[in-house]
Amino acid sequence: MARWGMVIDLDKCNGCQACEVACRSENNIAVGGPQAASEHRTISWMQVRAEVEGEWPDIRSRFVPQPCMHCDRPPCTLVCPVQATSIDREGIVNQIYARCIGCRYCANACPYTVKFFNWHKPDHPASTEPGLNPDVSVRPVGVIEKCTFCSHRLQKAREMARVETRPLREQDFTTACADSCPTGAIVFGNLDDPTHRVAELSRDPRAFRLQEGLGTEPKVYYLSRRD
Amino acid sequence: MAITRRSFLVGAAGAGIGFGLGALSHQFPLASPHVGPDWAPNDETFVASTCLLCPAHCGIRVRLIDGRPVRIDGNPLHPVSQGGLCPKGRAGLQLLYHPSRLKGPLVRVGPPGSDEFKPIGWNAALDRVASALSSASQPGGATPVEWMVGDVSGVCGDLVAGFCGVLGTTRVSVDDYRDGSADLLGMCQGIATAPAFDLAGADMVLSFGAALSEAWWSPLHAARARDAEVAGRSARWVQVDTRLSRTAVGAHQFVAIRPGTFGALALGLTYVIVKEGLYDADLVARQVAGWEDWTGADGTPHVGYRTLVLRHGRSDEVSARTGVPVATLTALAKQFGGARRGVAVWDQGVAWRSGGMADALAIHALNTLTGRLGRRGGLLVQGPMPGLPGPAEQKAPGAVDLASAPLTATSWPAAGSDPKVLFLYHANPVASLPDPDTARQALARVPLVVSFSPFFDESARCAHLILPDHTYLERWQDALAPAAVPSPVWGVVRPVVKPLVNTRATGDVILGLATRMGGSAAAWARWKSVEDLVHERGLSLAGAGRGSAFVDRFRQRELGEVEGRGWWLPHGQKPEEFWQTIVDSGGWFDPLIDYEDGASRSQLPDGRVWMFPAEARARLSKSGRALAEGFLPIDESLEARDGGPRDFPLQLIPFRVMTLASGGTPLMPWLLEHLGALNGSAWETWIEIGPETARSEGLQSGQRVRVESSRGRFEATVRVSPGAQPGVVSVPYGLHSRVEGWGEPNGANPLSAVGRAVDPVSGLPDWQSTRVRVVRI
Amino acid sequence: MTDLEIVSTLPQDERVLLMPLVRTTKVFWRWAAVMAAVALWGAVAYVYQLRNGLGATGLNTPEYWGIYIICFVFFIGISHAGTLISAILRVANAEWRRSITRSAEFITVLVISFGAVQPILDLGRPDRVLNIFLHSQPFSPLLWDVLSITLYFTASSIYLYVPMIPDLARIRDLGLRPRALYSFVAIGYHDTPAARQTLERIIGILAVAVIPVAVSVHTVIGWIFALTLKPMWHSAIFGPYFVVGAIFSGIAALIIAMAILRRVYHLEAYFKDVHFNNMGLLLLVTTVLWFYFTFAEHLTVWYGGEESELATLYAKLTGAFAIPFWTMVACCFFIPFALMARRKTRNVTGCVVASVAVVIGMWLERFNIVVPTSLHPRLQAATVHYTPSWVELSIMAGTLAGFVLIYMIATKFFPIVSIWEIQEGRELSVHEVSERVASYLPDDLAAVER
Ligand SMILES: Nc1nc2c(c(=O)[nH]1)N[C@H]1C(S)=C(S)[C@@H](COP(=O)(O)OP(=O)(O)OC[C@H]3O[C@@H](n4cnc5c(=O)[nH]c(N)nc54)[C@H](O)[C@@H]3O)O[C@H]1N2
Ligand SMILES: Nc1nc2c(c(=O)[nH]1)N[C@H]1C(S)=C(S)[C@@H](COP(=O)(O)OP(=O)(O)OC[C@H]3O[C@@H](n4cnc5c(=O)[nH]c(N)nc54)[C@H](O)[C@@H]3O)O[C@H]1N2
Ligand code: SF4
Ligand code: SF4
Ligand code: SF4
Ligand code: SF4
Ligand code: SF4
Ligand SMILES: [Mo]
Repeated sequence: MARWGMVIDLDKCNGCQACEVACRSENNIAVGGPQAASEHRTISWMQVRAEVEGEWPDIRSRFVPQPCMHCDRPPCTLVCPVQATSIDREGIVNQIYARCIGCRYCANACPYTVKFFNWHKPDHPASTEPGLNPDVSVRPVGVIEKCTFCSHRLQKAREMARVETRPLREQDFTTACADSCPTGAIVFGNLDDPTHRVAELSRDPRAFRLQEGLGTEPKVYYLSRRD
Repeated sequence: MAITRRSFLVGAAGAGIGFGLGALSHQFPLASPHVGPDWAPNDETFVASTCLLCPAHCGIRVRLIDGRPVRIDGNPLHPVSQGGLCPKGRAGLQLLYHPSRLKGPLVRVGPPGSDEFKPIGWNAALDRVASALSSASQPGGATPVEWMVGDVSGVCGDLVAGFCGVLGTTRVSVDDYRDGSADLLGMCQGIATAPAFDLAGADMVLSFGAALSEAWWSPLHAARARDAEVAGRSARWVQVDTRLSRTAVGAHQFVAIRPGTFGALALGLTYVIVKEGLYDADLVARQVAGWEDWTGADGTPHVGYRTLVLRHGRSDEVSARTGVPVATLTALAKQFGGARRGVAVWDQGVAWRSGGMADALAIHALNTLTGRLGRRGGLLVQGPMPGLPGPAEQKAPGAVDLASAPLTATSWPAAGSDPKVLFLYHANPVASLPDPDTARQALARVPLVVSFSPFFDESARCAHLILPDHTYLERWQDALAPAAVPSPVWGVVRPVVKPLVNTRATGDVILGLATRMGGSAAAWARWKSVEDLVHERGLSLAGAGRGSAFVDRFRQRELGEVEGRGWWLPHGQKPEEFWQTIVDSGGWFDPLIDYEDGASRSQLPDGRVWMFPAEARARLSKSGRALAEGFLPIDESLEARDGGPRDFPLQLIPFRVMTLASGGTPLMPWLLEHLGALNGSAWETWIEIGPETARSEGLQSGQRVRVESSRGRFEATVRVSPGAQPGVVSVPYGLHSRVEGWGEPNGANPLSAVGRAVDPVSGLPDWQSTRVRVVRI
Repeated sequence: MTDLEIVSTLPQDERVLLMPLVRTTKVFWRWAAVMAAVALWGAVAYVYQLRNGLGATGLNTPEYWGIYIICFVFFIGISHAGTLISAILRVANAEWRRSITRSAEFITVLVISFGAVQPILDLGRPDRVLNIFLHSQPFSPLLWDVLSITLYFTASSIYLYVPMIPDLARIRDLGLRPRALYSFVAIGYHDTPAARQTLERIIGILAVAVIPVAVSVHTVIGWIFALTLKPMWHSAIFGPYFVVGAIFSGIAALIIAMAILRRVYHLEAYFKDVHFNNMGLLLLVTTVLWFYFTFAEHLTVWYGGEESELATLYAKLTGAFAIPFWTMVACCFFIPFALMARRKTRNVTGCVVASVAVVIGMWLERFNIVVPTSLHPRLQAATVHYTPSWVELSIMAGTLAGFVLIYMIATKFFPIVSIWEIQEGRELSVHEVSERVASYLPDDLAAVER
C-alpha cells in the first residue's frame, strides 16, 4: 500500500509562489478579494510563508511552502463529528465537502493552520466558469477545505493504470504544486517505495518535519542545510 | 393593557414562523450536482504556446477540457523555461476569462472620461480609422500619426514599425525593457545588443541587485540555473541588494548594501582583485583597453581605470561608503577573482538612477578584468537568430526603428505638435505615467485616439475608439527569448482557444487598415493575416540550416554537442512538416553556444574591449556633475538634492515583485491574493521599512501612510520588515492600474512620487534616487 | 370566580406563590416587550447570517471560533446553577434549599437550550446539523458533547418536572386557567401520602443520577478545547476547571435571579437573608476554587516555558488581551472574594454585586480561553485580530433576551417556588432536622455499651 508524501527542499525554493497559483488553478480555489484579504479570510491551500531571522544587515531568511502535512496521526480527523475529514488507507487526509457541517473544529485541531473555511459563498464569476477544473468540485459556502494532495489526480492515474493493466508508476501521479515548481523544490511520491525519490529524500540528513514534537507524524518533509 | 397572554403567544408563534420562512430563503444550494444521462468523459488535450505576460517569453502548455482552457502549465520542451513558469504565467487564464473583457469594438458617445461608449461593427470602426489616416496623411511631410506601444514582440512589433513606415511617421514610443546595457556593450565592445549571462554555466554569480528571482529578463532561466552543478561543484550565488529581496532570500549569500553604492562596491572588489593579483594580467594587456593610462585620439591624456581603482577603491573607504564590512568585501573579491566561471550581473536596479551608467561600467569592468567575456559561465552575447522575413523589412525610407524609440513611461508625450491620430497598443499611459492628468490632457488634445486594449483600462476610457485585441491565448504571434538568454529561441504564440468574444488581433487590424487605405499601403500588406506571417517565418527557419523545433532535454544536449562539432543534421522533413513540428512543440531554438567565437567578446575593429571608453567619459563629463578626473562611479549628490536630509529623510527604492506585471496583473486576482511572499501582503500597495525607521518615524505595520517627495506622493500600507534597511523605504511597482469588475485592489503608483526623472547621462529613467518622507494618514 | 379571586382567598404560601400566575403587571409587559424586541432582533441577525454565510461574523483564519462558542460555554456553565446545585443541596439535605431549587432548575432547563443552540448558530452548514446523527464519528468530543448535553437537558427537564407535579396537581384542582394545560401536565397525580412517597423516592434517585451527568457536561466542554494541541487549550486541568467555573457562574446567576424574583414577586419571605448568606458562602468557596484552578493553570504554562504557549500566555498577561484578562481576575476573584468573605457584605446587595461581577468575569474567562489561543497558533505570526461583528453581538443579545423572556413567561405559568416543599418543610422538617441533628451528637455511652 502506498503512503503518499512530499519533500520540499528549502535550499532550492526561491519563494516564487508558482505553487500557490498552480494549486489555485488546479483546485478551483475561489478568489476572496481585497475584503477577504483584509479580514484574513483568503483561502490558499498552499502557502509560502517566510521565516526571517536576525537583524539588518546580518539577516537571513527562507521560504517555507506549507500545504496540509497529511499527518499520519492527524489531530484534525479525530475531532470531526461527522467524519467529513478522514485519512484514507494511503495516508491522504481528505475532505467530504457535502457532509461537512462547518463547525471548524478540525481547523482548530490542526496545529499547522492549513485548513480554510468558506466564510462566504465562493465567487466564481460566470465568465470564469469554463476555466474551472472539472476534476475538482467547487466548494459551497460554510464548509472547510484544504490541500488534498491533489487526490483527484491519483484517482485518474489509478484509473489509467487499471485500463492499461499495469501498476501505478512514480511518474503517473504527482501534485499540481510539485509539477509547477520551477526549481524542482517539491517532490511527491510514495514514501514507502524505496524506488521513489521522496522515499530517499525523506531520509536525507537535512530532512525534518514541522512541529515534529507534537507527534502528528506529518508526511510533508522539509530539507534544509540550516536547522 | 391590551396584550393578553394569548395574543402574546400568538405573536411569538407568528414571529417564529416568519423567522423560519426567512431562513429558508438562504443561500445554500439545495440540489447537489448530478450526472445526466448524456454525460461523457471529458476530452483532455494539451496545446503548446508562449507566454506573453513579460519579456521572458516562457513556453506554456495549456490543458484543455472539451476545448476549454482550464490550466496553464509550463512547456517542458522549452529550452529556457523547461516546464517552469512564474506565478503570473500560470494565472494567465484569468486574463482570458476576465469578466470585464470588452466584448467587441466600442465607439465613444459621451465626452472624454465619461465612460459612455456604444458598440460599433468592426467594418464601420475600421472605415473610420482608415479615413482618418487618409485625411491625416501629408504627402512629403511627416504624417501626424503617433503610436504608443507597450511590451510587444516579434511580428507585432514589426507590423507596427512597418505600418509606421507606410504611413510615413516616426512618432513611436515603445517600451523595450531596456536597462542601458546594450548601450554599454556598444561603447565597450562594439556590440549592439544587451548581454547574455551564462548563468547555467557559472560557478559563481555575483548579482548587483539584479532581480533574478523576481522581475529579471528571464526569472525562469535564473531559477533553473541556480542549483546547477558546475564542474562538479554546486554554484554559488551572491546577492548584493538594498533590501532582503526574494532573490536575496534564495541566494546562497546576501550582502546588504547602502542604496546607490554598488559602483563603489565594484570598485572596491576590483581593488582587492588587483592587489591580490587575481586577474589575468597577460590577457588584460593583450585584449583590454583603458585599463592603463592612455592618450585619446585628440591627444588628451586619460587616467586608466587601474589608476582610479587604486586611488579610490581602498577597502576601508569602500566599506565606509557601502556599509559592506571589509572582511566580507575581501572574501567576496577573492571568491569572485578565484572563481573559474564567475559572472557579475546587473539590471535596471543599477542602471535606472543618476550615476547608474558609471556604476554599470564598473560592474562590467569586473567581468572584463577577470576575463569572463565570451567564456563559459561568463558574459556572452546571444547567438544570432536566422533572418526572419517580416513587414518591417519594407520600410519607407527614414521610417522608424522601434529599438531606438524611447521608453513610454518617462518621455511621453513628446514635445511638439499633437498628432491627429494616436494608437495605444499594449499601453496604458494614464495609469503608467507618473501623473495621470498630463496623460489624460494629452489624449484629450488628439482628435482620434484608438486603443487596442482588450480591457476597459484607464487609457481606453479616454480613447475615441476601442478595437479590442485578442488575448495572447487567442491569437497568433511569435516571441523571441530576451537578450539575457545565451542562445536564440523563437517561440510560437498560437490560439489555444477560439476567441471568446468579438475581438480581433491587432496585427490583423493593422493589415486590414493598410488594405483599406489602398495604394502602397495595400501593397505592403501582402499577408492575409498574422497567422500567415508567422507561418512564413516558420517556414524560413526550415531553411536556416541550424537549430531545431523544441525537443526534450536530452535531445537538447545532444543537438548542442552535434552543432558544437560543426554538424547539423537536416531534419529530413519537408518545410511544412518542419513548421508543424515547430507549432506542436512550441517553437524553434538553436542550442549552440559558441564559446570560441571572439565576436561575443568584441566587435570593435581592433578586437579590444574597453573599460570606461572615451565616449562614456565624454557623456559622463557632459552631464555637468562634479566628476573627479572625468568620472567616478560614485554619486554623492543625492542628499543634497530634494532639499537635503531634513525635509526628506528617507531613500525611496521601488522594486518589482514577480506577482505583478507592469499593468496587466491587477486583472489577475489569483496573483493579487499572493502579492508579497515576504510579508503576506495582498491586494494593496505596501511600503517596507526596517524596525529602526519605524521607530524613528513612529510607524507601525498596518498603518496607512502617504509617501511624499518633492515631486509628488502616493499612499500605501506600512509593513515593518526586518529585511528593510535603516533609512530606506522600498515599495513595489505595479498596482497602479486596474480594471473594474473583479476585486478592487488598493493600489498606488509609486511613480507619482518619483516623477519623470531621467538620468541625463544614460537617458534612462532615474527611478531609484528619490528622497521621501512618510506621513501617517 | 376569576383566577385572581380564587388565588386571593388561599392561605399564605399558596396565595403568594401562585399570585404571579394570575396577576400580571404592566412592568412585566413592558419588560417582556423589550426582551421580545431584542430577541427578535437577534433572530433577524441570524437570518442575515444564514443568507450571507458566516462571513457576516468577525471570525477569520485562525480565529475560527468566537462569540458563539464563548456564549456556548458560558450559557452551559450558567446552566449548572440549577440542577447541579439543587441536586447537591437535596442530596446533602440542606433544608434552606426548599425555596430556591425550583427557580434554579428553571434556569438550567432554559439556559441549557439557549446554550445548546449556540454551536448551531456557529455552524457553517446548519442545514446539515442532522449529519451528526447520520454520520456520527464516535471519537469526536463534539459528539460526546451533543450526547451529554442532550442527556443533561433530558435529566434536568425531568428533574424540574417531577418535583413540580404536586404543585401542578394543586393548580389543576384549584381550576386555574388554562385548565387543559394544567390537567395535562399534572398527569392525574393525586397528592396521597403513598403518591408523595413514591415521588420523593424518584426525586431522590434523580438527584443522585443528575450529578454525574452535570459534571460530565462541562467536563466534555472543557475537553473540546483540551483535546486539541493548541497552546493553552491542551491542558489536563480543563475538565475540572470548567466544572468549577460552571458551578461558580451558575451560583452567581442564581443569586441574581433570586434577587430579581424576590423583588418583582415580593418573595422576601421566601428568599430570605439567610438564603443569600448561604449562597454567598457557596460563592466564596467557588471563588477560591476558581482562583486556585486559574493560578495552577497559568503557573504550569509559565513554568513550562514552551514558546508557543508563552506567546498566548503573555498575550493575556501583558499583551493585547491584558485588559480582558485582568478584568476577569478582578471580577472573578477580587470583587467576590472581598464581598463574600465578610459577613457584613454577604447581604442581598453584596451578593448581587458580587454575582454580577462573577457573571461578567466568567464570560470574559470564556473569551480569554477562546480568543487569545485562536489568535496565537503554533505556525503563524500573530498579526490577526478578532472584532465581533454586529451580527454576533446581536445574536448574543438576542439569546440573552430570549432566555430572560422565556424565564419570565415560565414564572407566569408555574410557581417559581415549590409550594409543597415549603409546606412540607413547615410541617415535617423542623421535626426531622432536630432528629437529624440529634443523631449527629455523641451517643449516650451508657446506651451504647448496653
Ligand atoms: N513580474 C514582473 N516582471 C517584470 C515586470 C513586471 O512589472 N512584473 N516588468 C518588466 C519590465 S517592463 C521591466 S522594465 C523590468 C524591470 O525589472 P528590474 O530591472 O528587475 O526592475 P526592478 O525590479 O524595478 O529593479 C529594482 C531592483 O533594484 C534594486 N536596487 C535599487 N537600488 C539599488 C541600489 O542602489 N543598489 C543595489 N544593489 N540594488 C538596488 C532594488 O532592490 C530592486 O530589487 O521587469 C520586467 N519584468
Ligand atoms: N506605477 C508603475 N508605473 C510604471 C511601471 C510600473 O511598474 N509601475 N512600469 C514602467 C515600465 S518599466 C513600463 S515598461 C511601462 C509599461 O507601461 P504600459 O506600456 O502602459 O504597460 P501596462 O501598464 O502593462 O499596460 C498595458 C495595457 O495593455 C493592455 N493589454 C493587456 N493585454 C493586451 C493585449 O493582449 N493586447 C493589447 N493590445 N493590449 C493588451 C492592458 O489593458 C494594459 O492596461 O510602465 C511604466 N510605468
Ligand atoms: S496538517 Fe492539519 S489538516 Fe493536515 S492532516 Fe495534519 S492536522 Fe490535519
Ligand atoms: S468543519 Fe467540517 S470537516 Fe471540520 S470538523 Fe467540522 S464537520 Fe468536520
Ligand atoms: S498537493 Fe495539490 S492540493 Fe495540495 S497544495 Fe499541492 S497542488 Fe494544492
Ligand atoms: S514553486 Fe517551488 S520554488 Fe516556487 S515557491 Fe513553490 S516551492 Fe518554492
Ligand atoms: S516569466 Fe514572464 S514569460 Fe515567463 S511565465 Fe512568467 S510572465 Fe510568463
Ligand atoms: Mo519596462
